[in-house]
Amino acid sequence: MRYALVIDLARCIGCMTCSVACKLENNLPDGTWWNRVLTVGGASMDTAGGRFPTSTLSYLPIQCQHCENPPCVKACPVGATYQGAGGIVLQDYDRCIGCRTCMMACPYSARTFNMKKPAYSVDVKLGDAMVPEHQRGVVEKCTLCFHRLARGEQPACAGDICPARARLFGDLDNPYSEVSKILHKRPFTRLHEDKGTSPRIYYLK
Amino acid sequence: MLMSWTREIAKVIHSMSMGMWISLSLSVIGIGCWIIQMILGMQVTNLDNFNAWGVYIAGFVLATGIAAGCLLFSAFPWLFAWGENYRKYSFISALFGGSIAVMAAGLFVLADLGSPERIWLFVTKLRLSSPLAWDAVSLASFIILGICFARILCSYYKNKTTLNRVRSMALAVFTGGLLVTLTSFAFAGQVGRPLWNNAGQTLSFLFAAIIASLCVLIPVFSWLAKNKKIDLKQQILAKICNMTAMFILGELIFVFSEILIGLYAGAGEDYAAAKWLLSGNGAIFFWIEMTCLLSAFLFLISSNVKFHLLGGLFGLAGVFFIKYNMLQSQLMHPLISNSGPFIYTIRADYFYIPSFIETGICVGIVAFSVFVCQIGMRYLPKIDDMEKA
Repeated sequence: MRYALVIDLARCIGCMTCSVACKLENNLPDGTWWNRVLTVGGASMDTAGGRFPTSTLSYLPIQCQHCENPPCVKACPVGATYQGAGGIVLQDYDRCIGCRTCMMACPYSARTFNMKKPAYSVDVKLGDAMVPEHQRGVVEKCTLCFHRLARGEQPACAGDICPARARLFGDLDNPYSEVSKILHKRPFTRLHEDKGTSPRIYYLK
Repeated sequence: MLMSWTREIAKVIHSMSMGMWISLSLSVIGIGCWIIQMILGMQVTNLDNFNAWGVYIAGFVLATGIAAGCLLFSAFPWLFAWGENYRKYSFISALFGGSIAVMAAGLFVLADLGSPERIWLFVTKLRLSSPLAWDAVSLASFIILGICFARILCSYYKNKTTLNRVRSMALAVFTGGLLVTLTSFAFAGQVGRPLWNNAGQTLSFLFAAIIASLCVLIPVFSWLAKNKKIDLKQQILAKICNMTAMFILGELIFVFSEILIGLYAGAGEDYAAAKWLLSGNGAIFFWIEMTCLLSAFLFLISSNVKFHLLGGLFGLAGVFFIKYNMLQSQLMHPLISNSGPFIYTIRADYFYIPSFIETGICVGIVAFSVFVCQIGMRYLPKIDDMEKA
């Protein structure tokens, strides 16, 4: 089983619904985003680059790329980062010593570190009950909602949640899955493939 | 036994000099800052998700380099005929490198960990694919090699062992000292950090280790000579200073090469980092680094003895800023730097300066190392007496 996420950059409108869905599903603390949508254009969010009439603006949703050859897994000195079923890269909060070597190793700046005791804007715990408690002094990242995958569901950021239907999730080992079929039809790219990480997030051009 | 230890400690306290009281006070302040960090978390630092490594790691790398360089300096006089005149300094160098410098490195790592209470996992769950694991193994080997070598030198001076055994141990110590190149892999091995990801870093780490260790040993030897614990001829000190200056020159060549190669491209990651260092937000620290290294070089090659200590100080500061700038120039230029939610955007006007707590902890670690060194130098036997015995 090889899970993959396919993001159609031609459809992404930068609404950040996927980011918010992730934040809610995983009860992320204030200031923590596992999935964020970056602006490809100007120096600030949602600003275009270049000059009128040839200015450009597009979006790049980014999260942990769940690489097939993850540099973070190699870099972790205590094995707190590991590859789970389907090739998902996971983090064991109870083992993480907070050295942040994995953050140095990640070419995608996909990881976040809890500098302080996690604080939340609401008094109730949001999201799925199976999501591990967030801890101070450990590194976190996108888990591809492994707790949902275990139930046969899709990650919170994929599927119908995206209003532009820009995100597809599936198993690359299944030739009939949506992701396999679309990758055969459309040209795609992966971020920083030259680094040898073999990321599993595919971006359709 | 407890009473005799108490009497001994009381004796030390009564005989402490002003310098020792200052070191001890700064150490206590450092401990206080660390307690604050432990209670409130790393939010008291100026680190963030992009700039996740700062002054603690710079200090750690510097201390590791000092440890390795001290071991190299302690071993080479026994392996190379031209180094025979430096044999009497091997004992101090091995002891200093194998204990105090490693202790400082360990304290810097402890301060940097987000969950220091889990440090025991370094022993029970160590994963050997990680460069940080290699760092841990290197540091452990520095302690063992340094202390064992110091012990074998004592035995040699007491005619309880042979020169061949000393030489065998020296070879092991020299090889161990070269392990500092392995510690560079925590940076050079990161494919996601192209500015670090080159073989030149390995050599730079070795040179920096030698420079830093000699810059620390120069004042240590000078103090010991002043207090008649060792016989330090001006000629020997001058040669050590010249040796240090040559390695500083090598490091300067490396730094200038990196900058020029980056600028030559005219665009791209290397260019952006070079420009950031030369004239951007990182310029102040880069030019401090250059000033320190050039001043150190000039002071160390000077024939005026008074300048040698200054040269050591500037050299040490220069190496610290080499590591600091190496960290910042890369961390301020991640591969993915598009704008996004505020917390994940590298701001154009941003540069990292350690917070008060970070500074307090670093000063505390350095002060504690100095304090331990001061106590150690007090109880150090006269090397010449050891030799004659």
